[in-house]
Amino acid sequence: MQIWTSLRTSKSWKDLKKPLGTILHPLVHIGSAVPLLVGLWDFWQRNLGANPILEITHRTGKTAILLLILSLAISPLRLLLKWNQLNKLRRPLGLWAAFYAGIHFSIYVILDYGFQWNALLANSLTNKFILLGFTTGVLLLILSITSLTYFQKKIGKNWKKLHRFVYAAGILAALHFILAVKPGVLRPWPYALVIALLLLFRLPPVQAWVKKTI
Amino acid sequence: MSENMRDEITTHKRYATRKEFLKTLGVVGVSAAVLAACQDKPFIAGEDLPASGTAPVPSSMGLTDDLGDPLTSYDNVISYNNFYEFTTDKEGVVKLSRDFQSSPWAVEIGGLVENPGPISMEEIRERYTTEERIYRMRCVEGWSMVIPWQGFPLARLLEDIKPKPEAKYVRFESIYDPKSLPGQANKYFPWPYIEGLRLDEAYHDLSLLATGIYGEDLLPQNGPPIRLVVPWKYGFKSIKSIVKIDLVEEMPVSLWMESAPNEYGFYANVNPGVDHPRWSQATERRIGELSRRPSLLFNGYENEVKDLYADMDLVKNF
Repeated sequence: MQIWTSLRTSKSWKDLKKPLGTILHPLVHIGSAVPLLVGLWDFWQRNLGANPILEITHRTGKTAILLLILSLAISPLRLLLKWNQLNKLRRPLGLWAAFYAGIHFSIYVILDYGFQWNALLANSLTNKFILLGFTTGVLLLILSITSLTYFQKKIGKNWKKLHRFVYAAGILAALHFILAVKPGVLRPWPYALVIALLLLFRLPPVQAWVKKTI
Repeated sequence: MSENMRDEITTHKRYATRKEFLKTLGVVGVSAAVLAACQDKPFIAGEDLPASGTAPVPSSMGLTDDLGDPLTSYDNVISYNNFYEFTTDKEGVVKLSRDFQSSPWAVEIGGLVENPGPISMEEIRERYTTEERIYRMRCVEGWSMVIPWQGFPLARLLEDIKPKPEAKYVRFESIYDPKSLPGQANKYFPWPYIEGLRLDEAYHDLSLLATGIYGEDLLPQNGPPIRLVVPWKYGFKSIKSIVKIDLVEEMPVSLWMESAPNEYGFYANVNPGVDHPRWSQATERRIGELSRRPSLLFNGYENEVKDLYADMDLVKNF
Protein backbone atom coordinates (compact mmCIF):
# COMPACT_ATOMS: atom_id res chain seq x y z
CA MET A 1 0.00 0.00 0.00
CA GLN A 2 2.88 2.30 0.77
CA ILE A 3 4.35 1.68 -2.66
CA TRP A 4 0.97 2.21 -4.25
CA THR A 5 0.49 5.54 -2.52
CA SER A 6 3.93 6.75 -3.42
CA LEU A 7 3.46 5.67 -7.02
CA ARG A 8 0.12 7.40 -7.25
CA THR A 9 1.44 10.62 -5.78
CA SER A 10 4.75 10.53 -7.67
CA LYS A 11 5.62 13.41 -9.91
CA SER A 12 6.10 11.33 -13.04
CA TRP A 13 2.57 9.90 -12.74
CA LYS A 14 1.17 13.38 -12.24
CA ASP A 15 3.08 14.54 -15.31
CA LEU A 16 1.73 11.62 -17.28
CA LYS A 17 -1.88 12.19 -16.21
CA LYS A 18 -2.17 15.57 -17.91
CA PRO A 19 -1.40 14.56 -21.52
CA LEU A 20 -3.20 11.24 -21.01
CA GLY A 21 -6.27 13.09 -19.80
CA THR A 22 -6.58 14.99 -23.05
CA ILE A 23 -6.55 11.88 -25.22
CA LEU A 24 -8.77 9.67 -23.06
CA HIS A 25 -11.92 10.51 -24.98
CA PRO A 26 -10.58 9.93 -28.48
CA LEU A 27 -8.89 6.79 -27.18
CA VAL A 28 -12.21 5.38 -25.99
CA HIS A 29 -13.90 6.13 -29.30
CA ILE A 30 -11.12 4.70 -31.42
CA GLY A 31 -10.77 1.62 -29.25
CA SER A 32 -14.52 1.02 -29.24
CA ALA A 33 -14.72 1.30 -33.02
CA VAL A 34 -11.96 -1.25 -33.58
CA PRO A 35 -14.12 -4.41 -33.13
CA LEU A 36 -16.63 -3.01 -35.61
CA LEU A 37 -13.93 -2.25 -38.17
CA VAL A 38 -12.29 -5.63 -37.70
CA GLY A 39 -15.68 -7.29 -38.13
CA LEU A 40 -16.38 -5.40 -41.34
CA TRP A 41 -12.92 -6.25 -42.64
CA ASP A 42 -13.40 -9.94 -41.86
CA PHE A 43 -16.78 -9.85 -43.55
CA TRP A 44 -15.20 -8.25 -46.61
CA GLN A 45 -12.44 -10.87 -46.58
CA ARG A 46 -14.94 -13.71 -45.97
CA ASN A 47 -13.00 -14.50 -42.87
CA LEU A 48 -15.91 -15.23 -40.54
CA GLY A 49 -15.72 -19.02 -40.66
CA ALA A 50 -18.28 -21.69 -41.43
CA ASN A 51 -21.10 -20.08 -39.46
CA PRO A 52 -20.68 -16.34 -40.08
CA ILE A 53 -23.98 -15.21 -38.57
CA LEU A 54 -23.25 -16.99 -35.30
CA GLU A 55 -19.70 -15.64 -35.40
CA ILE A 56 -20.79 -12.00 -35.66
CA THR A 57 -23.50 -12.59 -33.07
CA HIS A 58 -20.85 -13.84 -30.66
CA ARG A 59 -18.37 -11.09 -31.50
CA THR A 60 -20.81 -8.22 -31.01
CA GLY A 61 -22.13 -9.78 -27.81
CA LYS A 62 -18.66 -10.19 -26.36
CA THR A 63 -17.70 -6.64 -27.34
CA ALA A 64 -20.84 -5.28 -25.68
CA ILE A 65 -20.06 -7.14 -22.44
CA LEU A 66 -16.43 -6.04 -22.56
CA LEU A 67 -17.39 -2.36 -22.93
CA LEU A 68 -19.97 -2.72 -20.18
CA ILE A 69 -17.21 -4.14 -17.97
CA LEU A 70 -14.95 -1.21 -18.81
CA SER A 71 -17.68 1.26 -17.95
CA LEU A 72 -18.18 -0.54 -14.64
CA ALA A 73 -14.43 -0.46 -14.03
CA ILE A 74 -14.22 3.34 -14.22
CA SER A 75 -15.36 4.10 -10.67
CA PRO A 76 -12.95 1.66 -9.01
CA LEU A 77 -10.12 2.88 -11.23
CA ARG A 78 -10.90 6.49 -10.46
CA LEU A 79 -10.74 5.73 -6.78
CA LEU A 80 -7.57 3.67 -6.97
CA LEU A 81 -5.76 6.16 -9.20
CA LYS A 82 -7.36 9.24 -7.64
CA TRP A 83 -8.07 10.37 -11.16
CA ASN A 84 -11.43 12.12 -11.44
CA GLN A 85 -11.15 12.78 -15.15
CA LEU A 86 -11.87 9.10 -15.76
CA ASN A 87 -15.48 9.68 -14.79
CA LYS A 88 -16.15 11.35 -18.12
CA LEU A 89 -15.53 8.04 -19.84
CA ARG A 90 -18.47 6.24 -18.31
CA ARG A 91 -20.96 7.73 -20.74
CA PRO A 92 -19.11 7.01 -24.02
CA LEU A 93 -18.21 3.49 -22.83
CA GLY A 94 -21.80 2.81 -21.82
CA LEU A 95 -23.10 4.19 -25.11
CA TRP A 96 -20.69 2.06 -27.12
CA ALA A 97 -21.73 -1.00 -25.09
CA ALA A 98 -25.37 -0.23 -25.90
CA PHE A 99 -24.43 0.28 -29.56
CA TYR A 100 -22.88 -3.19 -29.81
CA ALA A 101 -25.78 -4.70 -27.87
CA GLY A 102 -28.06 -3.08 -30.46
CA ILE A 103 -26.15 -4.65 -33.36
CA HIS A 104 -26.11 -7.96 -31.49
CA PHE A 105 -29.90 -7.81 -31.14
CA SER A 106 -30.41 -6.70 -34.76
CA ILE A 107 -28.28 -9.57 -36.07
CA TYR A 108 -30.41 -12.00 -34.08
CA VAL A 109 -33.71 -10.59 -35.32
CA ILE A 110 -32.80 -9.63 -38.88
CA LEU A 111 -30.03 -11.96 -40.03
CA ASP A 112 -30.47 -15.00 -37.82
CA TYR A 113 -34.25 -15.19 -37.84
CA GLY A 114 -34.93 -13.05 -40.91
CA PHE A 115 -37.95 -11.42 -39.23
CA GLN A 116 -39.65 -14.82 -38.80
CA TRP A 117 -41.65 -13.42 -35.93
CA ASN A 118 -43.41 -16.67 -35.01
CA ALA A 119 -40.17 -18.59 -34.69
CA LEU A 120 -38.58 -15.65 -32.92
CA LEU A 121 -41.39 -15.34 -30.44
CA ALA A 122 -41.51 -19.08 -29.80
CA ASN A 123 -37.79 -19.14 -29.26
CA SER A 124 -37.72 -16.06 -27.06
CA LEU A 125 -40.52 -17.12 -24.77
CA THR A 126 -39.14 -20.57 -24.13
CA ASN A 127 -35.57 -19.46 -23.70
CA LYS A 128 -34.40 -17.92 -20.50
CA PHE A 129 -31.20 -16.72 -22.07
CA ILE A 130 -32.95 -14.87 -24.88
CA LEU A 131 -35.27 -13.18 -22.38
CA LEU A 132 -32.29 -12.23 -20.23
CA GLY A 133 -30.49 -10.78 -23.25
CA PHE A 134 -33.57 -8.88 -24.29
CA THR A 135 -34.01 -7.40 -20.81
CA THR A 136 -30.36 -6.35 -20.76
CA GLY A 137 -30.82 -4.65 -24.12
CA VAL A 138 -33.92 -2.76 -22.98
CA LEU A 139 -32.08 -1.59 -19.85
CA LEU A 140 -29.11 -0.38 -21.88
CA LEU A 141 -31.45 1.43 -24.27
CA ILE A 142 -33.18 3.26 -21.40
CA LEU A 143 -29.84 4.15 -19.84
CA SER A 144 -28.53 5.38 -23.21
CA ILE A 145 -31.48 7.67 -23.82
CA THR A 146 -31.49 9.05 -20.30
CA SER A 147 -27.75 9.67 -20.47
CA LEU A 148 -28.47 12.74 -22.59
CA THR A 149 -27.75 15.92 -20.66
CA TYR A 150 -31.36 17.00 -21.26
CA PHE A 151 -32.71 14.00 -19.37
CA GLN A 152 -29.99 14.23 -16.77
CA LYS A 153 -31.24 17.69 -15.85
CA LYS A 154 -34.88 16.78 -16.17
CA ILE A 155 -34.67 13.69 -13.96
CA GLY A 156 -32.56 15.53 -11.43
CA LYS A 157 -31.56 13.84 -8.24
CA ASN A 158 -33.06 10.48 -9.14
CA TRP A 159 -30.83 10.23 -12.20
CA LYS A 160 -28.02 8.66 -10.25
CA LYS A 161 -30.37 6.06 -8.80
CA LEU A 162 -31.75 5.30 -12.25
CA HIS A 163 -28.29 4.77 -13.65
CA ARG A 164 -27.45 2.28 -10.93
CA PHE A 165 -29.46 -0.08 -13.13
CA VAL A 166 -26.24 -0.55 -15.05
CA TYR A 167 -25.31 -2.98 -12.25
CA ALA A 168 -28.40 -5.02 -13.07
CA ALA A 169 -27.44 -4.88 -16.74
CA GLY A 170 -24.04 -6.31 -15.86
CA ILE A 171 -25.54 -9.22 -13.93
CA LEU A 172 -28.13 -9.94 -16.62
CA ALA A 173 -25.54 -9.82 -19.40
CA ALA A 174 -23.33 -12.32 -17.57
CA LEU A 175 -26.29 -14.68 -16.97
CA HIS A 176 -27.33 -14.32 -20.60
CA PHE A 177 -23.85 -15.43 -21.71
CA ILE A 178 -23.65 -18.30 -19.20
CA LEU A 179 -27.04 -19.73 -20.17
CA ALA A 180 -26.32 -19.47 -23.88
CA VAL A 181 -23.55 -22.08 -23.87
CA LYS A 182 -23.48 -25.77 -23.05
CA PRO A 183 -22.60 -26.63 -19.46
CA GLY A 184 -18.85 -27.12 -19.11
CA VAL A 185 -18.06 -24.47 -21.71
CA LEU A 186 -15.94 -21.98 -19.79
CA ARG A 187 -15.96 -18.99 -22.15
CA PRO A 188 -18.48 -16.85 -20.17
CA TRP A 189 -16.85 -17.33 -16.80
CA PRO A 190 -13.96 -14.83 -17.01
CA TYR A 191 -16.47 -12.12 -17.98
CA ALA A 192 -18.86 -13.14 -15.19
CA LEU A 193 -16.06 -13.20 -12.64
CA VAL A 194 -14.84 -9.69 -13.51
CA ILE A 195 -18.40 -8.33 -13.39
CA ALA A 196 -18.90 -9.96 -9.99
CA LEU A 197 -15.70 -8.38 -8.65
CA LEU A 198 -16.62 -4.95 -9.99
CA LEU A 199 -20.03 -5.14 -8.36
CA LEU A 200 -18.58 -6.38 -5.08
CA PHE A 201 -16.46 -3.25 -5.13
CA ARG A 202 -19.69 -1.22 -4.84
CA LEU A 203 -20.72 -2.79 -1.56
CA PRO A 204 -20.57 -0.16 1.24
CA PRO A 205 -18.23 -2.16 3.53
CA VAL A 206 -15.84 -2.76 0.63
CA GLN A 207 -15.99 0.92 -0.31
CA ALA A 208 -15.26 1.94 3.26
CA TRP A 209 -12.34 -0.47 3.45
CA VAL A 210 -10.86 0.72 0.15
CA LYS A 211 -11.17 4.38 1.06
CA LYS A 212 -9.51 3.74 4.39
CA THR A 213 -6.60 1.72 3.03
CA ILE A 214 -5.58 3.76 0.01
CA MET B 1 -4.77 -21.95 -44.25
CA SER B 2 -2.89 -22.53 -47.47
CA GLU B 3 -2.36 -26.12 -46.40
CA ASN B 4 -6.08 -26.57 -45.95
CA MET B 5 -6.77 -25.11 -49.33
CA ARG B 6 -4.30 -27.42 -50.98
CA ASP B 7 -5.88 -30.35 -49.21
CA GLU B 8 -9.28 -29.26 -50.34
CA ILE B 9 -8.25 -29.09 -53.96
CA THR B 10 -6.56 -32.49 -54.02
CA THR B 11 -9.42 -34.08 -52.17
CA HIS B 12 -11.99 -32.65 -54.47
CA LYS B 13 -9.99 -33.74 -57.46
CA ARG B 14 -9.61 -37.22 -56.09
CA TYR B 15 -13.22 -37.32 -55.11
CA ALA B 16 -14.42 -36.07 -58.46
CA THR B 17 -12.24 -38.61 -60.26
CA ARG B 18 -13.72 -41.40 -58.20
CA LYS B 19 -17.18 -40.15 -59.03
CA GLU B 20 -16.35 -40.17 -62.72
CA PHE B 21 -15.15 -43.74 -62.37
CA LEU B 22 -18.30 -44.84 -60.59
CA LYS B 23 -20.40 -43.02 -63.08
CA THR B 24 -18.91 -44.98 -65.93
CA LEU B 25 -19.85 -48.11 -64.04
CA GLY B 26 -23.37 -46.78 -63.85
CA VAL B 27 -23.41 -46.80 -60.08
CA VAL B 28 -24.40 -43.24 -59.39
CA GLY B 29 -25.90 -42.19 -62.67
CA VAL B 30 -29.29 -43.56 -61.76
CA SER B 31 -32.40 -41.46 -61.78
CA ALA B 32 -34.15 -40.01 -58.78
CA ALA B 33 -37.22 -42.12 -59.41
CA VAL B 34 -35.25 -45.34 -59.19
CA LEU B 35 -33.55 -44.11 -56.05
CA ALA B 36 -36.81 -43.22 -54.40
CA ALA B 37 -38.04 -46.75 -54.94
CA CYS B 38 -34.80 -48.30 -53.82
CA GLN B 39 -35.41 -48.81 -50.11
CA ASP B 40 -32.22 -50.71 -49.38
CA LYS B 41 -29.83 -47.89 -50.07
CA PRO B 42 -31.83 -44.73 -50.24
CA PHE B 43 -28.91 -42.53 -49.27
CA ILE B 44 -26.67 -42.96 -52.23
CA ALA B 45 -27.94 -40.03 -54.16
CA GLY B 46 -27.51 -39.48 -57.86
CA GLU B 47 -25.95 -36.51 -59.53
CA ASP B 48 -29.14 -35.92 -61.48
CA LEU B 49 -31.10 -34.88 -58.43
CA PRO B 50 -31.93 -31.20 -58.38
CA ALA B 51 -30.70 -29.15 -55.47
CA SER B 52 -33.51 -27.91 -53.28
CA GLY B 53 -33.60 -24.80 -51.16
CA THR B 54 -32.95 -21.28 -52.25
CA ALA B 55 -29.63 -20.64 -50.59
CA PRO B 56 -26.50 -20.81 -52.71
CA VAL B 57 -24.68 -23.74 -51.12
CA PRO B 58 -21.34 -24.42 -52.69
CA SER B 59 -21.32 -28.05 -53.74
CA SER B 60 -18.40 -28.95 -55.88
CA MET B 61 -19.77 -32.34 -56.78
CA GLY B 62 -23.41 -31.58 -57.28
CA LEU B 63 -24.15 -34.46 -54.92
CA THR B 64 -27.17 -34.34 -52.66
CA ASP B 65 -28.73 -36.21 -49.77
CA ASP B 66 -31.99 -38.16 -50.10
CA LEU B 67 -34.02 -34.96 -49.73
CA GLY B 68 -32.14 -33.24 -52.54
CA ASP B 69 -30.03 -31.03 -50.30
CA PRO B 70 -26.49 -30.44 -51.54
CA LEU B 71 -23.40 -31.47 -49.62
CA THR B 72 -21.91 -29.02 -47.15
CA SER B 73 -18.62 -27.78 -48.56
CA TYR B 74 -15.57 -29.87 -47.72
CA ASP B 75 -13.89 -26.83 -46.25
CA ASN B 76 -16.69 -26.29 -43.74
CA VAL B 77 -17.02 -29.97 -42.86
CA ILE B 78 -13.36 -30.19 -41.90
CA SER B 79 -13.08 -26.82 -40.13
CA TYR B 80 -16.24 -26.54 -38.00
CA ASN B 81 -16.17 -29.36 -35.50
CA ASN B 82 -17.45 -30.13 -32.03
CA PHE B 83 -14.74 -32.30 -30.53
CA TYR B 84 -14.50 -31.35 -26.85
CA GLU B 85 -11.52 -33.67 -26.32
CA PHE B 86 -9.52 -30.92 -28.02
CA THR B 87 -11.44 -27.71 -27.29
CA THR B 88 -14.97 -26.38 -26.95
CA ASP B 89 -14.14 -23.88 -29.70
CA LYS B 90 -15.53 -25.37 -32.90
CA GLU B 91 -13.06 -23.58 -35.12
CA GLY B 92 -10.11 -24.34 -32.87
CA VAL B 93 -10.27 -28.12 -33.22
CA VAL B 94 -8.44 -28.30 -36.57
CA LYS B 95 -5.28 -26.76 -35.22
CA LEU B 96 -5.23 -28.59 -31.88
CA SER B 97 -5.95 -32.00 -33.42
CA ARG B 98 -3.31 -31.78 -36.13
CA ASP B 99 -0.86 -34.18 -34.43
CA PHE B 100 -3.46 -36.62 -33.16
CA GLN B 101 -2.21 -40.19 -33.67
CA SER B 102 -4.94 -42.60 -34.73
CA SER B 103 -2.64 -45.38 -35.89
CA PRO B 104 -2.00 -48.00 -34.63
CA TRP B 105 -5.51 -48.41 -33.23
CA ALA B 106 -7.68 -51.20 -31.97
CA VAL B 107 -11.26 -51.40 -30.79
CA GLU B 108 -11.82 -53.52 -27.70
CA ILE B 109 -15.00 -55.58 -27.92
CA GLY B 110 -16.40 -56.64 -24.57
CA GLY B 111 -19.38 -57.20 -22.34
CA LEU B 112 -22.21 -59.55 -23.24
CA VAL B 113 -20.84 -60.97 -26.50
CA GLU B 114 -19.81 -64.40 -27.77
CA ASN B 115 -16.69 -63.03 -29.45
CA PRO B 116 -14.90 -60.51 -27.23
CA GLY B 117 -11.40 -59.15 -27.71
CA PRO B 118 -9.57 -56.40 -29.53
CA ILE B 119 -9.98 -55.85 -33.27
CA SER B 120 -7.23 -53.88 -35.00
CA MET B 121 -8.11 -51.21 -37.54
CA GLU B 122 -6.31 -53.27 -40.19
CA GLU B 123 -8.64 -56.13 -39.44
CA ILE B 124 -11.67 -53.85 -39.51
CA ARG B 125 -10.66 -52.38 -42.86
CA GLU B 126 -10.06 -55.85 -44.25
CA ARG B 127 -13.22 -57.41 -42.95
CA TYR B 128 -15.75 -54.69 -43.75
CA THR B 129 -16.06 -53.08 -47.14
CA THR B 130 -17.17 -49.51 -46.83
CA GLU B 131 -19.86 -47.76 -48.78
CA GLU B 132 -20.75 -44.11 -49.13
CA ARG B 133 -23.64 -42.68 -47.14
CA ILE B 134 -24.73 -39.08 -47.50
CA TYR B 135 -26.30 -38.10 -44.18
CA ARG B 136 -27.66 -34.96 -42.62
CA MET B 137 -25.93 -34.10 -39.34
CA ARG B 138 -28.00 -31.97 -36.96
CA CYS B 139 -26.14 -30.54 -33.98
CA VAL B 140 -28.09 -30.02 -30.76
CA GLU B 141 -26.85 -26.40 -30.86
CA GLY B 142 -29.04 -25.68 -33.88
CA TRP B 143 -26.82 -26.03 -36.93
CA SER B 144 -26.58 -28.79 -39.50
CA MET B 145 -24.56 -30.18 -42.38
CA VAL B 146 -24.87 -32.73 -45.19
CA ILE B 147 -21.85 -35.02 -45.09
CA PRO B 148 -20.66 -37.86 -47.33
CA TRP B 149 -19.31 -40.61 -45.06
CA GLN B 150 -17.52 -43.82 -45.92
CA GLY B 151 -18.43 -46.59 -43.54
CA PHE B 152 -20.23 -49.83 -42.89
CA PRO B 153 -23.40 -50.62 -40.93
CA LEU B 154 -22.80 -51.20 -37.23
CA ALA B 155 -25.05 -54.24 -37.70
CA ARG B 156 -22.25 -56.01 -39.65
CA LEU B 157 -19.95 -55.76 -36.64
CA LEU B 158 -22.70 -56.83 -34.23
CA GLU B 159 -23.41 -59.92 -36.33
CA ASP B 160 -19.75 -60.90 -36.00
CA ILE B 161 -19.32 -60.26 -32.30
CA LYS B 162 -22.66 -61.95 -31.51
CA PRO B 163 -24.48 -60.21 -28.64
CA LYS B 164 -25.74 -62.60 -25.95
CA PRO B 165 -29.51 -62.78 -25.44
CA GLU B 166 -29.40 -60.68 -22.27
CA ALA B 167 -27.66 -57.76 -24.06
CA LYS B 168 -30.01 -54.79 -24.41
CA TYR B 169 -27.74 -51.84 -25.21
CA VAL B 170 -24.46 -51.01 -26.94
CA ARG B 171 -22.05 -48.84 -24.98
CA PHE B 172 -19.35 -46.91 -26.86
CA GLU B 173 -16.26 -45.38 -25.34
CA SER B 174 -13.90 -42.78 -26.84
CA ILE B 175 -10.19 -42.48 -26.36
CA TYR B 176 -8.95 -41.14 -23.01
CA ASP B 177 -5.49 -39.61 -23.27
CA PRO B 178 -5.18 -36.18 -21.60
CA LYS B 179 -1.60 -35.91 -22.84
CA SER B 180 -2.65 -35.71 -26.48
CA LEU B 181 -6.19 -34.43 -25.86
CA PRO B 182 -5.92 -31.02 -24.17
CA GLY B 183 -9.69 -30.62 -23.77
CA GLN B 184 -9.72 -33.53 -21.32
CA ALA B 185 -8.09 -31.16 -18.82
CA ASN B 186 -11.57 -29.63 -18.47
CA LYS B 187 -12.63 -31.49 -15.33
CA TYR B 188 -16.25 -30.46 -15.67
CA PHE B 189 -16.75 -33.42 -17.97
CA PRO B 190 -16.52 -37.03 -16.72
CA TRP B 191 -14.08 -38.27 -19.37
CA PRO B 192 -13.87 -40.45 -21.38
CA TYR B 193 -16.74 -39.67 -23.73
CA ILE B 194 -19.42 -42.34 -23.49
CA GLU B 195 -22.40 -42.91 -25.74
CA GLY B 196 -24.95 -45.64 -26.17
CA LEU B 197 -27.66 -47.07 -28.38
CA ARG B 198 -30.51 -49.43 -27.73
CA LEU B 199 -29.78 -52.73 -29.48
CA ASP B 200 -32.53 -52.28 -32.09
CA GLU B 201 -31.26 -48.77 -32.84
CA ALA B 202 -27.75 -50.17 -33.21
CA TYR B 203 -28.98 -52.85 -35.64
CA HIS B 204 -30.79 -50.27 -37.77
CA ASP B 205 -29.29 -50.03 -41.24
CA LEU B 206 -28.79 -46.26 -40.90
CA SER B 207 -26.43 -46.69 -37.91
CA LEU B 208 -23.01 -46.42 -39.44
CA LEU B 209 -19.47 -47.01 -38.29
CA ALA B 210 -17.60 -44.48 -40.38
CA THR B 211 -13.93 -44.61 -41.26
CA GLY B 212 -13.91 -41.99 -43.99
CA ILE B 213 -15.34 -38.64 -44.98
CA TYR B 214 -15.53 -36.97 -48.37
CA GLY B 215 -13.75 -39.91 -50.00
CA GLU B 216 -10.73 -40.03 -47.72
CA ASP B 217 -9.84 -41.38 -44.29
CA LEU B 218 -11.36 -39.45 -41.37
CA LEU B 219 -9.27 -36.39 -40.57
CA PRO B 220 -8.11 -35.82 -36.96
CA GLN B 221 -10.90 -33.31 -36.31
CA ASN B 222 -13.61 -35.73 -37.52
CA GLY B 223 -12.92 -38.53 -35.01
CA PRO B 224 -10.52 -41.00 -36.63
CA PRO B 225 -9.96 -43.79 -37.22
CA ILE B 226 -13.49 -45.02 -36.54
CA ARG B 227 -16.61 -43.29 -35.28
CA LEU B 228 -20.32 -43.73 -35.04
CA VAL B 229 -22.80 -41.84 -37.25
CA VAL B 230 -26.47 -42.00 -36.22
CA PRO B 231 -28.13 -39.47 -38.51
CA TRP B 232 -31.57 -39.29 -36.88
CA LYS B 233 -30.12 -38.26 -33.53
CA TYR B 234 -28.38 -35.06 -32.45
CA GLY B 235 -24.75 -34.99 -33.45
CA PHE B 236 -23.36 -35.61 -29.97
CA LYS B 237 -24.64 -39.21 -30.15
CA SER B 238 -22.23 -39.88 -33.02
CA ILE B 239 -19.25 -40.65 -30.80
CA LYS B 240 -15.78 -40.15 -32.27
CA SER B 241 -12.49 -42.10 -32.09
CA ILE B 242 -13.99 -45.24 -30.57
CA VAL B 243 -11.69 -47.48 -28.50
CA LYS B 244 -14.26 -49.73 -26.84
CA ILE B 245 -17.61 -51.27 -27.69
CA ASP B 246 -19.46 -53.16 -24.95
CA LEU B 247 -22.76 -54.96 -25.07
CA VAL B 248 -24.60 -54.34 -21.81
CA GLU B 249 -27.88 -55.05 -20.09
CA GLU B 250 -28.43 -51.65 -18.46
CA MET B 251 -28.91 -48.37 -20.31
CA PRO B 252 -25.46 -46.73 -20.54
CA VAL B 253 -25.03 -43.28 -19.02
CA SER B 254 -23.47 -41.01 -21.61
CA LEU B 255 -21.06 -38.21 -20.83
CA TRP B 256 -23.72 -35.63 -21.58
CA MET B 257 -26.37 -37.41 -19.50
CA GLU B 258 -23.99 -37.35 -16.57
CA SER B 259 -22.94 -33.71 -17.12
CA ALA B 260 -26.44 -32.26 -17.54
CA PRO B 261 -29.17 -34.90 -17.09
CA ASN B 262 -32.01 -32.40 -17.50
CA GLU B 263 -30.67 -31.18 -20.84
CA TYR B 264 -29.37 -34.28 -22.60
CA GLY B 265 -31.21 -37.57 -22.60
CA PHE B 266 -30.26 -41.05 -23.74
CA TYR B 267 -32.32 -41.00 -26.93
CA ALA B 268 -31.52 -37.49 -28.22
CA ASN B 269 -33.62 -37.99 -31.33
CA VAL B 270 -33.83 -34.87 -33.47
CA ASN B 271 -37.25 -33.46 -32.68
CA PRO B 272 -38.38 -29.91 -33.52
CA GLY B 273 -41.30 -30.36 -31.10
CA VAL B 274 -39.15 -31.00 -28.04
CA ASP B 275 -37.07 -27.99 -27.08
CA HIS B 276 -33.77 -28.06 -25.31
CA PRO B 277 -34.48 -26.59 -21.85
CA ARG B 278 -32.61 -23.43 -22.82
CA TRP B 279 -33.28 -23.07 -26.54
CA SER B 280 -35.77 -23.99 -29.22
CA GLN B 281 -35.10 -26.90 -31.57
CA ALA B 282 -37.75 -25.84 -34.09
CA THR B 283 -35.30 -24.49 -36.64
CA GLU B 284 -31.70 -24.94 -37.66
CA ARG B 285 -29.09 -23.23 -39.77
CA ARG B 286 -27.63 -25.38 -42.50
CA ILE B 287 -23.98 -24.43 -42.66
CA GLY B 288 -23.48 -22.44 -45.85
CA GLU B 289 -27.02 -21.08 -45.89
CA LEU B 290 -28.23 -17.72 -44.66
CA SER B 291 -31.77 -18.26 -43.50
CA ARG B 292 -32.89 -20.81 -40.96
CA ARG B 293 -34.83 -23.86 -42.08
CA PRO B 294 -37.36 -25.86 -40.08
CA SER B 295 -35.91 -28.89 -38.34
CA LEU B 296 -37.42 -32.26 -39.24
CA LEU B 297 -38.64 -35.00 -36.92
CA PHE B 298 -35.89 -37.64 -36.67
CA ASN B 299 -33.83 -35.29 -38.83
CA GLY B 300 -35.87 -36.26 -41.89
CA TYR B 301 -35.42 -40.02 -41.37
CA GLU B 302 -38.89 -40.44 -39.88
CA ASN B 303 -40.03 -43.14 -42.30
CA GLU B 304 -36.94 -45.21 -41.64
CA VAL B 305 -36.85 -45.05 -37.84
CA LYS B 306 -40.29 -44.18 -36.47
CA ASP B 307 -41.11 -47.85 -35.77
CA LEU B 308 -38.29 -47.97 -33.25
CA TYR B 309 -40.21 -45.54 -31.05
CA ALA B 310 -43.78 -46.57 -31.79
CA ASP B 311 -44.97 -46.78 -28.18
CA MET B 312 -42.65 -44.21 -26.70
CA ASP B 313 -43.34 -40.79 -25.26
CA LEU B 314 -40.76 -38.71 -27.11
CA VAL B 315 -41.15 -35.76 -24.76
CA LYS B 316 -40.35 -37.87 -21.73
CA ASN B 317 -37.67 -39.88 -23.51
CA PHE B 318 -35.82 -36.90 -24.96
